Amino acid sequence: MKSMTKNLMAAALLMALPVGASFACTTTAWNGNTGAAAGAEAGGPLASTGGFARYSGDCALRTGAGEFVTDNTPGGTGSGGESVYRARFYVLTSGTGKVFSATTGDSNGGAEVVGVTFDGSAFTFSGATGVSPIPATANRWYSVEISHNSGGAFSAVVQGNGGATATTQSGTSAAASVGSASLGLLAGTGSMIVDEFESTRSADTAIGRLCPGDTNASGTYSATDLARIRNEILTILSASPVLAGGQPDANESGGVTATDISVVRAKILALQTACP
Amino acid sequence: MKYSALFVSAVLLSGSVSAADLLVTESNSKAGVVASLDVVSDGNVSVFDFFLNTGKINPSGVDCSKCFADLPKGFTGSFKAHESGVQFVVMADGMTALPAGVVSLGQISFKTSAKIQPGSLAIERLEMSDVAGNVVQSNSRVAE
Repeated sequence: MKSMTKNLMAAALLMALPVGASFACTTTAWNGNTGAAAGAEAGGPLASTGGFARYSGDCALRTGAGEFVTDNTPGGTGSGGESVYRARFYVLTSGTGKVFSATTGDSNGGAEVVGVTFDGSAFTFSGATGVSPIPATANRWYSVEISHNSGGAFSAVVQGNGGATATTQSGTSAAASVGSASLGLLAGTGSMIVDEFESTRSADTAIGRLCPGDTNASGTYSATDLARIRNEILTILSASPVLAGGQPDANESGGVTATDISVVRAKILALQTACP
Repeated sequence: MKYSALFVSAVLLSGSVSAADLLVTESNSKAGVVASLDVVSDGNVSVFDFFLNTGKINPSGVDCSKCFADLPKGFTGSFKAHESGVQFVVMADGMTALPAGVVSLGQISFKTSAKIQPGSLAIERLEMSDVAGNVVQSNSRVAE
C-alpha cells in the first residue's frame, strides 16, 4: 500500500551540520495549504522555535482557531478521492474544537467525510455515523487513528495520557471519498498542538503508535533513553539545549520532566523494556 | 571485599577491555552468595542498566542494601528483584560520567532464603550510555 506521510518534523539537514545545529521546522510538505495555514506555527520546545511542546522529534504545529494545514495527496491530481482512507495524528488537547477534517474536495473543500473534534472531555467524530465519543483529558497528548471505508465500516482508535490501552469506537463511514485532509484547529477556542500525521490507503493495517519514552527508535526502554531525557530537562533553558529525540514525554503529559525519567526507569526495572 | 583486584587487573592487562566493562565477582559463604559490582571505563559512562540473571530465586532473599554503597556522589542507583534475577539502573543525576578506571558500585548479597545456586550469575541486557546519550560499547564478565 502506498503510504502518504506528511511529517511535521524538521526539514532535512545538510549532512555537514553538527547534531547541535538548529532545525528548520516547516509545513511545506503539506501540498494543499490554504490561507488558513499562514497562522499555523511550526516549532518546538526550544525558545528559538516557539517554546511549545512537541510529541516526537524536534517540531510540532501549534494552531489557533481557524489555523490548519492541508494535504491534497488523497486521490492524486484531478477529480476523485480515496474511498478507503486511514489517518493517524497526535494532538495535545490544549484547546477545544475540530482538529481534523477529511473532505471530498481539495484544499479542505467539498463535503466533510470524517471529522474529529475535542470538546474538552472527549473526542467526537463527524462524517461517519453511529460513533460514540471517546473520553479524553484536557492538556494531554493523544494519538487518534481513523479508518474510513466509503459506505462501510468506520473506526476510531484513541490512546494517550500515558494510558496502557487504546479505546476503539466503530460506526458507519460516510458514502464518500477523501480528496484532502486538514489538521490543526479548524474551528474552536484556544490553541491545539498537533504532530506526527500519517495516512495510508489500507483498510486493514493500522498505522499504529510511536513509542512514548523511546528516544532513539530502538523499540525498547534503556539507559540511553534515560540519558537523553535527562539531558533535555537539564539543558532546555540553557544556551546550548539538547533535545532528546524520539518521544521523550513518556507519560504524554505535555511536558518533558523528571516524571518521564521515573516512568522509563520504572519500566526498565519492571522488565517492561519492549515498547508496547 | 570490594572487588577482586586480581580479577580486575587481569581484565585490564588482557588488552581485551572494551570501552566499558561491568564486572561481577562472586564469592560464597555459609551466609549465602555475595557479588561485588564494578565498572571499568574510559570515563565515558553516564547511565547504564543491566539484568543480573540468577536462575530461579526467592526475591525476598535478595539484599541490595549495599548495592550502591560505593557509588560516586552524583549518581543514583535503582534495583528491582524478580524471580529470575535483579534488574539494575544507575544514572548520573547531571550530565556527568563515572570516573575513568575502576569504579566500585557496591555488593549484592543473596541470603540462603534466596535459594540461589552458586555459580549461576550471568549478566544480560547490559546497555551503557555516555553523557550525550549515545550507546557505549560495553562488555560484562562474571568471576567466581
